[in-house]
Amino acid sequence: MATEKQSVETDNREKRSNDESVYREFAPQMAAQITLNNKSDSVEDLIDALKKTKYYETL
Amino acid sequence: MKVESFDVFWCKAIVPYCQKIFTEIPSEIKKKYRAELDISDGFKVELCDTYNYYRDTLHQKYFSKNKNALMDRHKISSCIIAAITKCRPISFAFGTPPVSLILSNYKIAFLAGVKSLYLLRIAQWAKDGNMEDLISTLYEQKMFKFPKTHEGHDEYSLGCVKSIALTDLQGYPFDTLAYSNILYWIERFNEENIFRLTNQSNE
Repeated sequence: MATEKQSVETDNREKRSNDESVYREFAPQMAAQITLNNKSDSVEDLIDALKKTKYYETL
Repeated sequence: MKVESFDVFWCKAIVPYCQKIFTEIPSEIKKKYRAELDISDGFKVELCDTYNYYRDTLHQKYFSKNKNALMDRHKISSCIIAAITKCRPISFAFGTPPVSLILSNYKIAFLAGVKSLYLLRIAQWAKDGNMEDLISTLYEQKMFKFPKTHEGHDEYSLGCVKSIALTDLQGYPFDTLAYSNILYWIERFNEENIFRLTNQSNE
């Protein structure tokens, strides 16, 4: 009984994700944990390569 | 992006579509709504600055953990669409402009963005080397092709233009990440067609 009461109190104190305003409050922190993997050459290197093709003038 | 690099997109993608789409507007509509096209050096600088703003914002928002990450070509092209959508090279007087005039700037934005990606796809193959068949086949196309849509739907590119227009006109920000994903699939559609034509592996 005491444990049940304690659990309910804990739930009341918790900020839970099913509450929209709470979700938005924590959204920036959650977003910061998501990493976009993105591999690319520099645009300057790509443009240099493009300019060296025989097609460049007529692209 | 350095101004010299932006100049390539300006000369090969943005200005040609500005001129093509402005030319397609009937002269009586241009006259009635006093439509004007700005492809001045001043506009180019404004557009380049706006591109850099969208690029930097995208980087700060989504690459905060990897500050040295370079933007891939789909995100670069998406930021070009965002910048043209914001800067609007064609101006016109209000009243009740026809849909074709309302869509003109969004058409330039989308098509110039796709053409920029087309140029970067060729550039990447050129940089990687030994891709002459692929480059020459894509070069012959002059632009990426778009997938067919089902009967009763707008053509794919027109659907994209309308979605950019409606998003902007309703006051929502341009979704650079979502559009970079759309651009990826346009590129992939073309790559797969070209791989089939040239009997290359589907990688």
